[in-house]
Amino acid sequence: MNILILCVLLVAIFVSAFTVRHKLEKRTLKQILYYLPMLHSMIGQMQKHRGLNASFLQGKSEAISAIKSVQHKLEQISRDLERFTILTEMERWDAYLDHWSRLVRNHQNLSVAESFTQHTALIENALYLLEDLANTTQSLSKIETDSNHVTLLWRELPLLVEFVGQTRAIGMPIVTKQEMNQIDKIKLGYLRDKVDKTSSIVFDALLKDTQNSKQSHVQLESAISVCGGFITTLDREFLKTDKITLASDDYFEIASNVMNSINEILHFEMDKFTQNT
Amino acid sequence: MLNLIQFPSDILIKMLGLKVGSYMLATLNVILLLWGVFFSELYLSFIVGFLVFSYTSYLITELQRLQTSFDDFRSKESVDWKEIPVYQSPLLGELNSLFIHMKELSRQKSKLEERLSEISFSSEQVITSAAEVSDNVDAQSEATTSTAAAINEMTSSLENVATNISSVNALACKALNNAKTGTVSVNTLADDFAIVHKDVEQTRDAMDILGTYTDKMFDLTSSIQNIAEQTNLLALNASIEAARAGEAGRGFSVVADEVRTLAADSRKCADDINSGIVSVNDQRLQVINSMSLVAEQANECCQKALNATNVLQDIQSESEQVQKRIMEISVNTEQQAQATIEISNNIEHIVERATANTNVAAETKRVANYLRSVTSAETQGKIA
Repeated sequence: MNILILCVLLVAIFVSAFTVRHKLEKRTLKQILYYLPMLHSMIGQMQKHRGLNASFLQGKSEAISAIKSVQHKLEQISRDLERFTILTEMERWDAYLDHWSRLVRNHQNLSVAESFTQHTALIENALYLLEDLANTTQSLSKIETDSNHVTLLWRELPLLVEFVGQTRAIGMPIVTKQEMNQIDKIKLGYLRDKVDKTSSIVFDALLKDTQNSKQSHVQLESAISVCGGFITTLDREFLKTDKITLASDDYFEIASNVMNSINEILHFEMDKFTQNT
Repeated sequence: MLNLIQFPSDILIKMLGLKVGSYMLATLNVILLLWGVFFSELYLSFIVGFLVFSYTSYLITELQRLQTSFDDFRSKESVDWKEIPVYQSPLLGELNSLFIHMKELSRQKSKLEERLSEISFSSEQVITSAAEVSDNVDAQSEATTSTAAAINEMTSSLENVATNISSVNALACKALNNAKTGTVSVNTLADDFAIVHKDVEQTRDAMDILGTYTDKMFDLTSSIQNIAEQTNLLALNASIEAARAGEAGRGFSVVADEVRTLAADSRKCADDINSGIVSVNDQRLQVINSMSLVAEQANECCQKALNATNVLQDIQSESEQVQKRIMEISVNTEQQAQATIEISNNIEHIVERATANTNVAAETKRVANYLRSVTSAETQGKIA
C-alpha cells in the first residue's frame, strides 16, 4: 500500500514538473515566433536606412525625410522588442542598442565608407541575433526540423537579402554621382559573386524541398527571376562598363524588389513554421 | 544492458532537462531513502543505489559522447557552430557560456573566411589590373621606342636642313651683294645715259647753229651768183661796146669774154657751193633727226635704268629680308635640333621607366598571386 502511494506521489511530481516545463517552453516559443518577424522587419529597416544614408551622404539631401521616417520606425520596433526578455538578455541586443544610439547621433557626419561599415556591422549583429533567436525555436519546437532547412531559412536567406542590401548601399552613391572608382568596382564584383553563389545555393535548396506549395513555387520563381535580372543589371550597368547611366531611383527600386521578393519567401516559410508549431 | 541501467536518468533528463531532471532524481532518492528508513523497507535502498549508479553512468556516457563529438568537430576542416554537439548532449546545453563562446569563435572564423574570400577576389582583380598595366606598358614601350627612332631620324634630317639652310644663306648673301653691285652699275649706266642725252642736246644745238651758218652760206652764194650774173651782164655789155669799138675794142672784147667766162665759172662755183650746202643741210637735218631719236632712246634707257635700279633695290631689300628669315630659320632649326635631342633623351628615360613599370606590374602580379595563394581554400583549411 505504502509503495503504491509512493509511486503515485512520484508520478504526480514528474507529471506536474513536465507540464510546467512544457507550458513554459510553449510560451517561450510563442513569444519567439511573435517577435522573430519583428526583428526581421527591424533588419529590413536598417538596410533601408543604410541605402538612404548612402544617398544622403552623396548630396541627395531630400533623402533626410525618408531617413527620419525609417529611424522613427526602427525606434518603434526597438521599443516593442524591449518587452521580449529573452532577446533583451542577449549581449548582442545591448550591443545593438549602444551601436544604434551612436550611429543615429553621427550618421550625418560620417563618410560614405564609414557609414557603410557602421551600418553593415550593425546589421551583421542583428542578423546574428535573428539566427540565435531562430535557433532557440529549434530546441524548443517538438516538430522534427531539418537543421539545414533552419540554417537556410534563418541564415542563408537573410544573408542573401543582406548581400543584395550591401550591393544596393554601395551602388547608390555610384548612381547618384554617376561615377565609380576601382575599389567600388571590386566591392560590387565581389558582392555580385556572393549574390550569385548564395542565391544559387538557396534557390536550389528551396526548389528541392518537396514540402513547398504551389504558392511558394510561384514566389520562388519570381525571386529567381528578379535576382537574375539584378545580377544582369550589375554586370551591364556597373561591371562591364565605364560609364554609369542608371538612375539612382531605378537602381534603388530594382535592388529593393530583389530584397522584397526574397523576404516574401522568408515570411511565407515563417508563417508555415508558425502554423506547424 | 547499459541503456537499461541509464534508462531512468535518460528519460528524466530528456523530459525535464538536465537541471530539473537531476533535482528530480536527487529528490526521488531522498524520498526513497527516507521512506525505506521510516517504513523499514530495505529494498528501497537498492533502488536508490541503482538510481545513483544509473545517473553516474549516464553522466559518464554523456561526457564520453561529448568528448567524441568535440573530437569530430575539431577534426573537420570546415565547421559550422551548429555542428557543436549542444543539440546532441543536454550536458553542454547547461554550459551556456562555453557554447556561446564556441559559437562566437565559429562566427569569427566565418567572418575571417569571408574577409579572406574578399581579399582573394580583390587579389584576382589586382592580378587582372596588373596584367592590363603590363600590357599597356609594353605597348607604350614599343610606341616610345618607335617614337625615339623617328625622332633620331628627324634629328638627322634637321642636321641636313641646317646644312642646306647655311648654303641657302650663303647664296642669299651672294644675291644681296649682286643686287647691290647691279644697282650701282645701273645707276652708273643711267648717269652715262644722262650724259649721252646731254651731249646729244649739245650736238643738236650745234647742228642748229650749223643750220644758221648754212643759211648764211646760202645768202653768200646767192650774192656770189648775183655778182656773177651782174659780172656776166657787165662782160656782155663790155663785149657789145668792144664790138662797137671794132678793132680797138678787140682786146677789150677778149677781156670781156674772159670776164664773162670768169663770171660763168664763179656762178658755177657758187652753184656747186650751193648744192654742197644743200647736201650739208640735208645731212644736218638727218643728223638732227637721228640725234632726236638718240636723245629719246637715251632718255628711255635712262628711265629704264632708273626702273631697273628700283627693281634692283627691291631685290636687295627682299634679299635682306630673305637672309634675315633664313637666319631666323637657321636659329629655329638649331633650337629644334637641340629640342629633338632632348626629347630623344627623355624618351630613352621613358623607355627605361616603362621597362621598370613592366617589372613593377609583373612584381605586383606575383604579389597578388601570392596573396591569392595565401587566402586560397587550402590555406583557409589549414587555418581552421
